[in-house]
Amino acid sequence: MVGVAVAILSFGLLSTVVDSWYAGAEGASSARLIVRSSVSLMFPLPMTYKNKINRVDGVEDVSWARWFGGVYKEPKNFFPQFAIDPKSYLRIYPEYIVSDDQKENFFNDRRSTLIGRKIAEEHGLKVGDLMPLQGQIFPGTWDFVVGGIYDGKNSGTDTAQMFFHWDYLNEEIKKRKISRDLESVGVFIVEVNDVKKVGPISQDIDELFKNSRKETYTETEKAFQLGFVAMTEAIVVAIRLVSYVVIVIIMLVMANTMVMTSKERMWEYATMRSLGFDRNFLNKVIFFESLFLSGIGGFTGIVLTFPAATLFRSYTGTLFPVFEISLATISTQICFLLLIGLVASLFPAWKASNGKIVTALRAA
Amino acid sequence: MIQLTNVSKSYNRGDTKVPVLENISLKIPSGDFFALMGPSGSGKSTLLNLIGGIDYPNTGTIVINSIDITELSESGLTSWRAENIGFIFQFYNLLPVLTALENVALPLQLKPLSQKKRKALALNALEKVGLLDRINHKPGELSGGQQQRVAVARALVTDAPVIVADEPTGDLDRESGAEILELLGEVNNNFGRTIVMVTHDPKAASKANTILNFEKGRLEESSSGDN
Repeated sequence: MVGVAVAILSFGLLSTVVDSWYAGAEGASSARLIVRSSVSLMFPLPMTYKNKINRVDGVEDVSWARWFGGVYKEPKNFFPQFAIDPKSYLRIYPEYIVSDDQKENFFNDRRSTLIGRKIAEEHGLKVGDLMPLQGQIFPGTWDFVVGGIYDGKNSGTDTAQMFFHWDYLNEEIKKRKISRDLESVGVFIVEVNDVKKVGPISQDIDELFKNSRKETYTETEKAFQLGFVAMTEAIVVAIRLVSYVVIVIIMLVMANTMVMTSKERMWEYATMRSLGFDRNFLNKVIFFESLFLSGIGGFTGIVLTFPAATLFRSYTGTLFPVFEISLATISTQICFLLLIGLVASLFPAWKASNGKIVTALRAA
Repeated sequence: MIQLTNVSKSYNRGDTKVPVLENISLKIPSGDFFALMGPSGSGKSTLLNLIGGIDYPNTGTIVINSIDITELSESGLTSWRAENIGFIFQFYNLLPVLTALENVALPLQLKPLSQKKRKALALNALEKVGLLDRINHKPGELSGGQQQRVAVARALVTDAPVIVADEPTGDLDRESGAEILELLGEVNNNFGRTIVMVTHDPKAASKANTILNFEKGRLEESSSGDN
């Protein structure tokens, strides 16, 4: 039972890790497009592209973002940091919930930052606190003031991000003479007015900059996020494989345990057959015994998955911004505990009901 | 009546056929207390297993109360056993996780009775064997003699007309063994059950009405017991 509990718990935890890997893509919208350099995300695009993109038929709104990549206190405190246009960005991402007064704080102070609830809780930050970052891509110390803390509209929203003014970054690049492209963005975020037309709109945007010095590649936000997942897909596949292997191992262990237990109890089964209990009855007894054992172990594992996930989340900080045990994971855990109970009972049931009564009685 | 006609049984050991019973024919009248005696390996337990319906002969017929059990399918034989045979094993064969009452009531699970009725019948059977003060004890908490009494009660509870007992005193001390034999005599006399008992103990056999001697799979001679 303990083995089953551990196996089901491990499966649940590993499944949740895999789910959180895809969470970014799951939470992404198919009605938002990401416009980036066709060469690589590392190459920024000129800000001048904004107005051209805005004029494309079907484009509802345009915002932009640039990856900052700084360090807050120490490198292990990783969370994404983006320089954005606050007003248009929060328009395009209505799932980031900010109170009106904090929104005003953020809009009005170019050195202010909007941080997600996870970051605030992780580091004990509140509105008004100073938040210095050490730049890696943009060297130097960058002081920000927490202007607001945003929450996610639903559990799948990433609240482990930090946003600040793109204008501030752009000015400081000039002031500090940092050798990075001026007036540039990492990506443009485009909201379309008809999700069915994302294909043609993407093509139209890319067509605008074809044969220019900086050609673009436009795709849905979901595809963009899945592209990141694809880069680490081998790890995800490995984790998923391990989660299934754990289940197979415990299935074999439990089957072996049931075989050994039933071998010792063959005389009991033979006695019951002598008394008039038929094979079907014996099969049911062995099956339900096996299911009972796997059920107790399995449900314990399912229940323990929740505190284990909480503990895991506390240790990994903002590495997995969305770490929720899904209904699909729980359903799969239940299916596996049933399967374990069934598979473990197969051979013992066959042996008990097909063996010769006299042989089993003699063995007693 | 139990009637065996030209019953033979052998086992395969690799390529070799090992004969255990050779052309056994006998009649056991209803209500008889019948003992099969013989040394170890003589085939008496094999014959008992055939009468009890937990093994099939290679040849011959076994008719018990007008039913030829050699013609029954496996499931048919299983159902037949539930109605017609009560088993008493040498090592009691009580289920260790069940109490005495639950062990006795176990065969009644096959009958369409209410829980209340099953309990009443089981208590009645335990009363017959003098164990009403041990009904909630598990086999591990009972002596050998007491466990065998529970097994006798289990064999009685379904009103099966035939009780087969394989060395019922084999694992008991002299005193407990004598008590069990006394009990079996009472079961035969007072309740009219046909008892077919296997034993290698002449003293145990002497409690039966009829004693049949076995030697190397063949019947030797019959005699009468003290009962």
